[in-house]
Amino acid sequence: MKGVVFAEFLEMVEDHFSPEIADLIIEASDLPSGGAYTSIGTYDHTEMVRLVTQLSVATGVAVPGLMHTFGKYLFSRFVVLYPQLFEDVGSAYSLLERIDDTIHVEVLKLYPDAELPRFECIASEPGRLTIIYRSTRGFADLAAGLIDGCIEHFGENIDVQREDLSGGQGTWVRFSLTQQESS
Amino acid sequence: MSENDLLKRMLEREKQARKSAEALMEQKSRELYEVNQGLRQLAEELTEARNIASQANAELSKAIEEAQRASANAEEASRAKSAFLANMSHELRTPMNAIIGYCEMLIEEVEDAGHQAYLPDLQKIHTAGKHLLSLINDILDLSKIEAGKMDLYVEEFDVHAIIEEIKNTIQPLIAKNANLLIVDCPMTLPRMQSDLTRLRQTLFNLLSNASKFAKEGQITLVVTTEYVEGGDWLNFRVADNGIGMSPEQIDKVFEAFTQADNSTTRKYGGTGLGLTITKKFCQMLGGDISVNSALGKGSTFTIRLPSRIAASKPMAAREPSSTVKSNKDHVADSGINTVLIIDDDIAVQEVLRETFEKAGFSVACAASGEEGLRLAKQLRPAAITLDILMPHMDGWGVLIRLKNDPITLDIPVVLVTIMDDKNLGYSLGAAEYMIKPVDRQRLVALVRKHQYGTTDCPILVVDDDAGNRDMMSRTLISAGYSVIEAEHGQAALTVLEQCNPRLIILDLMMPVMDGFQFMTKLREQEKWRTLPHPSPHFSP
Repeated sequence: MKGVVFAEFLEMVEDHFSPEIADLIIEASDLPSGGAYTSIGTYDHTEMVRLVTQLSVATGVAVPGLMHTFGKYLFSRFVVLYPQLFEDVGSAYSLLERIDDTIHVEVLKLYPDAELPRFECIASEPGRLTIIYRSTRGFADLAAGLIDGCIEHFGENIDVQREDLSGGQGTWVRFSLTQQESS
Repeated sequence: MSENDLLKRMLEREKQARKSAEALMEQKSRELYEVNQGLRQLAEELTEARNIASQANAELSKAIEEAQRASANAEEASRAKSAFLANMSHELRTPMNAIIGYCEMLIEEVEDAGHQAYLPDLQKIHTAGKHLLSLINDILDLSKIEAGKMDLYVEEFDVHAIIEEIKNTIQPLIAKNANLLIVDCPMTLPRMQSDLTRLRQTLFNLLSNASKFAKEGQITLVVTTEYVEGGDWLNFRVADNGIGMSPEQIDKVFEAFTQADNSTTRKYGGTGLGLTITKKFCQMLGGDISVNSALGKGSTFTIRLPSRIAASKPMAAREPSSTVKSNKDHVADSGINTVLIIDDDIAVQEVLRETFEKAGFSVACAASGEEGLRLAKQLRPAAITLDILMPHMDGWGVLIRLKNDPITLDIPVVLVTIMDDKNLGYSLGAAEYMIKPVDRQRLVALVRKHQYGTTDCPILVVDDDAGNRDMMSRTLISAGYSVIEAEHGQAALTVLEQCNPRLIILDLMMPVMDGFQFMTKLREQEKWRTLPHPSPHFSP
């Protein structure tokens, strides 16, 4: 997992909770990297699992909720960090459809060794978009947070239904998005 | 946990992160450097490769240029060679015709004088001369084809009629070796649009070959038709049961100057060019020729031609002409005892000139149809001999124009040609049709038949060449005429002031005043317009 995700996660913990909580969960997680993340590095994704688990212990908030919150936060950070990704993109669907064939392609140019999740988009009918998420890491909650962050960013009214196709593993999940009549 | 400890740990983690980031940057920089080096090397290699390629390109362009130059040179050389051959052949034909013509004269004279002992030798010279002439003619044909100077004269004709005609013509040759000719040519064949002369020449060639190589055998000519996409095709199959050819001989049979073997020429004669020319003709006519043969069993040649080929050079339109008109008075009024010879072959001109001069006519010659028409109008000759196969404007074209012009309409035209197309000739208004080589005695007989009665007036011979003048004078004096000589037109006019000749034999190219100027003067003066010139006249 890219270092930027860890760095942003710890920033979020420091901002939303406190630097002490951040320090606490790092210490409690007993991380191989020692919690010294640089955004250009790459780290084992299990470190993220340990950190989130420890955050859950420290705050009493369930892991899925934390992951979802982090997903939304991460999306808002992407908007700041990578504005070029949002040029000429006017809607949530058009951005989501670009993840696999444009955004991840750019990521791989910089980090050829990055192991990226798959976001397969199927636009079967107007106003609807189906996203099939696949990843060995099982970060479907993070993906859901990112999707919600995206919808929020564009200020759209979209209903998201989620169906786990991997028996609760979170490695193969279908998100069904439906544009709602604006009230 | 004190805040101090917390800050320390955070600082430590930041330090760690910075160091690992630096290490990563260093590693990336190194990688970039290596990749850069690799790219630089690749660029150098590419530059080198490009240099090699452009050098190779330059060499290639140079080679192409050289090849093109060489090819152009070769084509030019080939054209020059063909042109040279054509010219040479033409130059060779002139003396050959003289040799053959004078040899014929000698044979007649020797016969008349009763010196029979000389006859066999003279006949050998005559035969050898004719063989040499046919060889030269073949070379001329071939070089004309190769130089692209052989034009096609496309016309429409009835195949069955042509085959009948060929059958009749070739019969004596077939009979020579006691062969039997069987012709199978259905009446229902489609009409053909092609070059009749070339077709006839190819068929003659194949039939005469067959009759040469078969003895007491059977020769068949079968004409069939087939429809292939786009049109009808005609197959002319000439088969004999003569000596045949081996596979090696078949391979070379259409190559120039190769006969089945060297002894063939000695035994059977021929130039070794006939089949080469035949093949070229077939290709010019849009078809081809093939051969099947077995040694000792005979040969079968098949010509395959499209029934219609695109007319590359159509013949002058043939307007059906009414019956030949003749108005002796009109021609007699022209007052000129001249025969105009229109033939592009100088040798033929010479032989005919001599023939007519011997017969007491003055002769004008034209080497082309255009010049012939001009002279015909200018001279209003008593008769015209006309060749058919001439460049630019052929004899048919000349004949049509002569017969459509009131000034020349009544001048009798004798077609003297290798083409055997009497019906066409007569229908276009020819008075007589003679096939080369010319039977000079018949020609003279025709002339004499129409000659007016003799008078005591002398014959005026105008020629700047003393030798020619002398030869003509001697001939005429020996024939019982009196002769006055003049070395050019001006001198001839002086003679005319003193006497009225019964005939003027006029050279055209002369100093002081040439033949044309002389003719103009002659026409200008009323007294000379009525000179009592007897005018020989050809009638149909």
